Amino acid sequence: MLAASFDRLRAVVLPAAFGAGLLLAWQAVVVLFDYPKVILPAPSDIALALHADLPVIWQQAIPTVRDTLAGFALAAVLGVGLASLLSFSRLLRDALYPLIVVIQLVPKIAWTPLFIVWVGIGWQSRLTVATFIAFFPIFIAMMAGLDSTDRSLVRLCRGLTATPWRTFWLVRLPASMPYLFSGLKIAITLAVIGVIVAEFISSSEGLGFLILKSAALLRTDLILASITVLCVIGLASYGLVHAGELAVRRWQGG
Amino acid sequence: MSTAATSRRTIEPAFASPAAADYVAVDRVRKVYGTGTRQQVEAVAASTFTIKAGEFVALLGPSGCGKSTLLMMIAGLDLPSEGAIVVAGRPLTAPRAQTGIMFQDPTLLPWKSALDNVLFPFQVASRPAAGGNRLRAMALLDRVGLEGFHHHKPGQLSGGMRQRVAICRALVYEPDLLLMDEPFSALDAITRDEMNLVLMKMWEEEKHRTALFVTHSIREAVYLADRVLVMSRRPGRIVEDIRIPFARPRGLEIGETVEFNRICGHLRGKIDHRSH
Amino acid sequence: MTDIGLGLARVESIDLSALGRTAIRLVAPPLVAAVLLLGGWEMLSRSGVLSTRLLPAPSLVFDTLVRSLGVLLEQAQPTFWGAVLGILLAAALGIVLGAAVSYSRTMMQAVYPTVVFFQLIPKVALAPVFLLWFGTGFAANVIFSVFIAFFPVVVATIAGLQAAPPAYERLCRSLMMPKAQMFLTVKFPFALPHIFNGLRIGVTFAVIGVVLGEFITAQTGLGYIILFSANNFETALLLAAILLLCGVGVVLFAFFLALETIVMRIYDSR
Repeated sequence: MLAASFDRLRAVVLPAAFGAGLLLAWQAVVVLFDYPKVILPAPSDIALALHADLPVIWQQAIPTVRDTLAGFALAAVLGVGLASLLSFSRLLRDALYPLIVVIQLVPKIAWTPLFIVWVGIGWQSRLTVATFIAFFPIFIAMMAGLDSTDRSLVRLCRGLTATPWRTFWLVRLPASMPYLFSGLKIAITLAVIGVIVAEFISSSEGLGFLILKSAALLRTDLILASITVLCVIGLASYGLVHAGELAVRRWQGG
Repeated sequence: MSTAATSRRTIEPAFASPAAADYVAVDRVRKVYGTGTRQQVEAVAASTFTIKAGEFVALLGPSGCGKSTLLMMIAGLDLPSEGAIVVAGRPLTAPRAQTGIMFQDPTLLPWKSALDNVLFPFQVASRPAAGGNRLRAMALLDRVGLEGFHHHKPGQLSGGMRQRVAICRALVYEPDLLLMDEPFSALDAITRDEMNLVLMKMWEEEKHRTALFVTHSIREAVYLADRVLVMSRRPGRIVEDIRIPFARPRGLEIGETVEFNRICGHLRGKIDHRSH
Repeated sequence: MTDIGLGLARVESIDLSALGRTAIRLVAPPLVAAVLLLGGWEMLSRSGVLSTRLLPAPSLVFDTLVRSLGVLLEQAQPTFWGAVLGILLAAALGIVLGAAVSYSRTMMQAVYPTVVFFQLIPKVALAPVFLLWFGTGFAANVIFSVFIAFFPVVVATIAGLQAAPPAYERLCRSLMMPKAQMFLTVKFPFALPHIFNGLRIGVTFAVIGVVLGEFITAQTGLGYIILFSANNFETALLLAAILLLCGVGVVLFAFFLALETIVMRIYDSR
């Protein structure tokens, strides 16, 4: 009894202690060596900035969250849709799958300026970048998932004279869920990155814009406060996908 | 390939001379997993038995009865919750150098050749893997029928061949106690028969080392062992301890005798009987 | 007589003509699709449906690449070497720290959640801070590149060092193998495929790190060229720079693939 609860306690206390230790060390270094706030604000400075400038950060967080979630959703629809389409046609699949795999090797962030040329500096370019960057992991994972379907199950369906559509809906789609969600998890973190980079390059709103503006004003504490909020957004959206995975798994009875 | 060895050996009594001392003594050993009164699972109920030097004992029981746990404790890889184990006159608290083990999986290092896998124990002990040790390893591989496969990687070998390598690895450093945890249960029936023959041949040629063989196959236990211990369903306890009267060397054909099948039937009855 | 003959060893015979047919079947469809796509794009551009400012024809992109190759190659240097330094340092740090953390269960329990936390948060947002700390030069780009390429490597190393099946640990314990030796001779080889996976992800991150630094500081490098040409609507130059950047990525990727092939040949499982 004691040993088990001690073990469970360790798994919570140790990482918490390590994180707290890091923050404390940071604070101590800043105080001891008297670093200027511009170079390295202490965690306490960041907390103060977070408190004082929360309305500004909040206002800039809204477009970032909106573009991230919209881009992610669009990428999910496109990725799952295209992968499903390709699973029905051998020829399409053989022709397009390798091309997409090659394209996804390209450093995708580098395309951001091109999208800005195409659709302007508004939310449309941020949405495009987020969709573009989040699409590939979803598509690739969905393809892998659809391919992973137990062959004997597919054969069973054929034996039962199920249509390809029924087979897809009843067997292949459910079987691909674990893969899809691992892709979605990568995609959601990438979608945040895409929006931030687009905001860095050319934008007049969003947390990326706020970070860059604060850098120009040498408000390092405000940069790190914005990043703190961004981390919360990143973790929350990741948690959302994870919750979706748990819900689907429960629904599938696994 | 055939066992040339069978003709070389004379028929011997099924078990070693009465003077032989208890080599392994398991005294009221109990294993409980989990903590807290509610989550506790008793894997092995208080069990007592001994194995004499040179004896081949099979520990037979249904899946999940705790027989593997018992073997792991005798290997020193797991500690009993209660009770004591004595091996070669010394209380057991940690793995000992003179024990050879075979697991259900061959556990070969996939990047090493068959020969290097057999020599792995020497590498571990920083003992020379050349000279006499290397010759012994090669001779062992030849004797299990792997001549010409010394430099093959495990990925190029069949499941039965991999377990042959594992037998050699367990024997190469001449352990006095050989512990085997369902080593052939992942193999198909035909390969399994072959492996039983190989094991029997190696054991008989290797000066009758003390052996404990855990299995859930009744026929395998009766075929291999001098003595069969039967373990009940979880929590496992020893419910039967019988001697197998067949002379050695044994061929697979003893499996067709009436006596063999009578013993199997008796053991099956013991397993099915729920003791609590 | 009893038979203890061998189980069948796997025999592999390679049918060359079948191999050729498979290659054609695999390569032809994407090739045809690529040609169709590029051809259609070229036609649309020439006929004026697509504006050259938005999407110049592939031939124009190629022309621009050839014409500006001198400048582009010059600007590719800091990007390429920055990414090389970035991934090499990240690899060294990631593998060493991953191994150190995995060595002790306490360390592992303490540090791993923090590492995962950093893996999940959008680290690119920290780019302006790095530039503030380390200036706007080459060094800052490299350090930022190390920072974001480090995490996939360390996570893969930690995961890989857990990859050896538990039976192997039991085997080593039964042979009374010292922990350090088990780490080096058993766990590390089992971790290698995972580590190379992490390195492959790390390579793309290293390139992204350098390019992002170049985007923000806008002084040198392919990232600067891309941003510069976007601001001037020189889309052909932009695409040519992206093409060259792909070249940088592919070279790095190929290097690690080659390294993986060599190392995995030593630890070949066949």
